[in-house]
Amino acid sequence: MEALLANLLTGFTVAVTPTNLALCLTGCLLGTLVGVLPGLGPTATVAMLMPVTFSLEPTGALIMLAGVFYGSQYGGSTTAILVNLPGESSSVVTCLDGHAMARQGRAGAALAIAALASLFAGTVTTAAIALGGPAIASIALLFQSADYVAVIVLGLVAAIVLAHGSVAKAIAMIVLGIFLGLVGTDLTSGEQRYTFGIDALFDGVGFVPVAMGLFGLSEVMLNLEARAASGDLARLRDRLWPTRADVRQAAPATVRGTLLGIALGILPGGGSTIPSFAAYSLEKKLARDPARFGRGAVEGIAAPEAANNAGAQAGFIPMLALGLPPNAIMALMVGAMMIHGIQPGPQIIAKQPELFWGLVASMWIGNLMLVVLNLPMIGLWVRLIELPYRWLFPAIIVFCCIGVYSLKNAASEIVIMAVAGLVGYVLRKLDCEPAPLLLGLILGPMLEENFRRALSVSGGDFSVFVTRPISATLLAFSAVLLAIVLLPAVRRGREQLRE
Amino acid sequence: MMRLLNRDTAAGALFAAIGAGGLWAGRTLNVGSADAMGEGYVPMLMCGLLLMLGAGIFAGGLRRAAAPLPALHWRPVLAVTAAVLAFAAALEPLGVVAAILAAALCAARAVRGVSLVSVLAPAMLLAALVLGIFVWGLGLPLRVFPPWLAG
Amino acid sequence: MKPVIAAAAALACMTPALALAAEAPRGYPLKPVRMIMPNAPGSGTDTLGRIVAHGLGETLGQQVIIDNRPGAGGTLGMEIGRNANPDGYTVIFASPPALTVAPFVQRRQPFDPMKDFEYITTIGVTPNVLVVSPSSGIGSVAELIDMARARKGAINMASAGPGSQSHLAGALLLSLGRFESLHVPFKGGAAVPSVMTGESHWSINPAPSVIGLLKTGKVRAIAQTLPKRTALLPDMPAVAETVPGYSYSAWNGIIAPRATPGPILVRLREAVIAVMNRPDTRSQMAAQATDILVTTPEEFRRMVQETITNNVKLVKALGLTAE
Repeated sequence: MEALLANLLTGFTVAVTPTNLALCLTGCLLGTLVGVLPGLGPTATVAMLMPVTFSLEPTGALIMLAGVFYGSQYGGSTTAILVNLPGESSSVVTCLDGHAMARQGRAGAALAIAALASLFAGTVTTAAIALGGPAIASIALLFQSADYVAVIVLGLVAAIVLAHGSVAKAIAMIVLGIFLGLVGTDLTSGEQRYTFGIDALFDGVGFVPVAMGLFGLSEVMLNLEARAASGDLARLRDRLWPTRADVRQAAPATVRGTLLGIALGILPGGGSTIPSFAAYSLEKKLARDPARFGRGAVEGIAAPEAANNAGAQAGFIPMLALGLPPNAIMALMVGAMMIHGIQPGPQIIAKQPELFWGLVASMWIGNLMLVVLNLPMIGLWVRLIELPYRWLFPAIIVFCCIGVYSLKNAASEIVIMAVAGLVGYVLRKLDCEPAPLLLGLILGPMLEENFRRALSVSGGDFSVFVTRPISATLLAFSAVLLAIVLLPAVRRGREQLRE
Repeated sequence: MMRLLNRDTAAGALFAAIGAGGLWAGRTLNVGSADAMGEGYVPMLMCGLLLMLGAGIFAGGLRRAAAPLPALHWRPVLAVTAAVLAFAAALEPLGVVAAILAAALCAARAVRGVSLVSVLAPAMLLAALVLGIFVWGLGLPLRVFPPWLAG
Repeated sequence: MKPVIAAAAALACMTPALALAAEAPRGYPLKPVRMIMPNAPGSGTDTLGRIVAHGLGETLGQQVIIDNRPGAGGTLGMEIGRNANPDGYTVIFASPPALTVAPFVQRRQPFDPMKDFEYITTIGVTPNVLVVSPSSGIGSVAELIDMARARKGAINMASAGPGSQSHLAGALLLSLGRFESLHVPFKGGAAVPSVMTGESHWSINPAPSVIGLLKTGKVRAIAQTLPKRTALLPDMPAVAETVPGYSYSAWNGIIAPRATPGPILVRLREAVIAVMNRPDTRSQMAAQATDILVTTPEEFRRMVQETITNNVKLVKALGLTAE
């Protein structure tokens, strides 16, 4: 404990120098400003702003990059809430209830809840990293392919829970998502699947263009159709802040989301997506009245926002302690460290304590700054979406196009977004929710990869999934969860029949 | 008698059709066996599942009175799609300013009674904003003007 | 319309090239130079490219912007590079996967590595490292081969996917060392972690992605893939000491679209060499376990030709070519 305090003291001494505080603030600010642009998620933002940090000394550079990362993540949530545009996978869930609240004129409250839940999650995760970073990291090394299959199955079951319509349609949407995720070059054989000779499909269907199309463009279409053109999107400005009842509902959800986020975030490939979906599902299951979800439930914002922030931050644990980046953003951070001549891995804690603990401390400071920075900006964001819709929507379309283009600098990505928008419109008209499809799209390739690998290594023996303790436990948990979801649906279905 | 066309039967038919299409389009893929799965194993599994789920949803829609098909308004849908596609087509050969103009003109068709001329000024404002943020601010490698103008 | 533009561009480029035989066009570069990176941001190659681009920007007095164009094994980026205006404002950061493997595993050959580009210089050579899991008890290449022969096929070789450096380097070892392993492909950087969890027994991976992990004690490096020992990885034997003739490492270099004016190529080559001689570049490259190597365009061209010959042989033997 004493050592921990000493370490944190080292960290804060480094982090609160005026230069580093300024860098942290600048990073958060730049990150937020770029992150609110639809389509520019954290990966793109970090890649874009990385050159700015080259001239800084290493600790300052990493502090600034961490700030950019948090800022862009929060900025992404802002866009998700205001205009239903998820710029990255983890803000898909935020769209569900966040945008519903915005439509009810409670965008300010939604933004404030998101910021506060993120701050709480950031605080707890920072403490967790400080307490047990290296020990937590080694958990990731217990997971083999079969165990990843189990984690993914759990994530997919979570997506079924979060749908509020028909369970059969939700499952079909997940399967469709997995199928879309299989398009592209097969990892094992190198064969092309469903690419129809189109170069742009060789690497598969990208998540961001599909998400922006399914949610964002179809939202624009529905809004225009509903004659929202007169600009009645978020009119009620009297409720800028969350009510006491909101806070009471959001608090426990935030705690649960945080814990879930840390647990799932340290797994490679997990990042912040599975945690946010899982946290939402958990809240919906625990809620006395699940029907509120998708219609502006505060827990539906607090829990996934806490989970995705905790998950994202927990991703620093394997990166710093083992040098294993669990996702693309962390890979970029490792790249940035290497450019500064720092080799990530367990030795940096011993060799460069001021860097490690300085970064840990600035993570917390970054989270705090985000809240300080963003609470005053909420009024500004809310006013922005009060512009007449007929002016706003061409701008949304153009920003989406540029954001999606910038991912690979390929116009084909924009075309994929257009198709996804059209498909999203039709599916939403048929009461099929897009969120499960997106989760299937992200997890599908991971599922196939690990499923094939597990069976290839076991020689085709399916029992690997139940003989490995981690995998067996997770699968049993998923089965119970699935049973809980299906039973009421079956019951309800029968009741409907009897009527 | 139930109406044949409702939200469930339509969704079911759509899923089933995608599943069947996937099975057909992937008929040349190598399926393999559990210990050495080919590239077709999981796709066939998923398409089969999609076909079955689709059939189930369709059948359910026939038995129960599901919500009727909603009214589709093609005008905004087509205008928005056209705007995005126009942007994609114009961006690389003509540059981002022309692409924004093209997108804005297409998007204007979404709302009845908006004249094409009236969107020019907002479109130019938007173009200036985009240039400021993306090209000069963030340094995105975007072509700004057509190559024959840029010199 | 396109051929007209191309012809005009070619004319525009030829005129100054004729007028000033040895000097770069006055003031070049007048605007930022784009460096196409056919790899994803954050990848090992991307990191090397960013180091070079940063130094190059300072030397040229104009920013060098990294333009990540990953996709189709690097083919997308290479095609964009080939089709770019050859005015000296587009260069390409070349590495073996995109230039010497990807074009030969696709149904139609998307570009011709030898004809479509001007070679400027290589910047360095990065060895691969053979890692094993400590729990496997393998301590040397000879022990790996013995164990694999004894337990036929029950040994797993992790790779970064079919046709990757990691896969081809491993396949070359299997063929020269005459032993078998089950090929287990992974996506991205997950091959080494799978060795750490003990799911896979061995894997060959680029040195920069591995050296940081060695100190965790969860993965052991038993050899590197340069033809002989290197000062960058002291105490690490070369695979060739056990398997004579084995060599599989990656070069990186700068190339430009064909018909980029000669004087500009000369200017760029001088600038790159100046960057590679800077002490900060040297230490950054050493941190990436990359040996700095600058070559003449002819030497570079010969290296590429040789790599293509070797890789095409491997790719064909593995059945990775499409029809």
